Amino acid sequence: MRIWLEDGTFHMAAALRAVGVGLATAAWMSVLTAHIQLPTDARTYAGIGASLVATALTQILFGSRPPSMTVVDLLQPIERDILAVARERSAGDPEELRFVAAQVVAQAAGEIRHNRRLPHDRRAWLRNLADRLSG
Amino acid sequence: MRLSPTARQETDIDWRSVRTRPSSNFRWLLRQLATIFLAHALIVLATFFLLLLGDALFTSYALVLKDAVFVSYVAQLGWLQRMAAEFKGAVAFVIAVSAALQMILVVFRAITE
Repeated sequence: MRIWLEDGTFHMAAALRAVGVGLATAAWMSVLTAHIQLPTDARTYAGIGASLVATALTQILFGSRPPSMTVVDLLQPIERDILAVARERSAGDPEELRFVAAQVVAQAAGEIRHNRRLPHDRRAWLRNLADRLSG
Repeated sequence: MRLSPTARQETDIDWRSVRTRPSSNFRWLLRQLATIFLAHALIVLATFFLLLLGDALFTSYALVLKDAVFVSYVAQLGWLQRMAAEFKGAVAFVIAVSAALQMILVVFRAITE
């Protein structure tokens, strides 16, 4: 999957969440203020204020960084693959394993940042990156 | 082969080194802002389309049941409420606020982190 698509999905989810909470709060506030028979102006201000606060809280509390800001969110799910490739290359040396894994992660992060698609055959891609490192 | 918890800790990748190199340049930021704008524009369109669809369904129901005065009355009332400029304005306002806040937060995080 391309990184801009991941970002789009992330922003769409955040927007839907914030808008949904904002609209639900405005509707709830409208019903509540109608029930207690507030004047029209007060109802309008209450609705605007409540929806503003709800939307802001949702964005601040549940918003996080887009996947492309640091590519960790994209690489962490394939951590097992990275370690497996590093294990193949390290021949059982833990120090070497950590080094190779770190190098592969750095290379993969660089490629993703340059808008490369995350391939389906991730092992082959990671092996290719490790090969490039070693030779 | 399953690794023991201790062995796993030894081989875990240090993600902090990747995390400390964010790719937030000006072009990236523009792309994020454009994506946020597009997402909210899609939500506005989808919301208004759903309102229109709801009205269309209810109105056609009222047309089928011509003699049912109550249904016709509710359809009219519903249409007036949902399609009122204030109602559409309120929906657009919430979506615009959400878009502005999301953009501000992304810019803030890009600058500070």
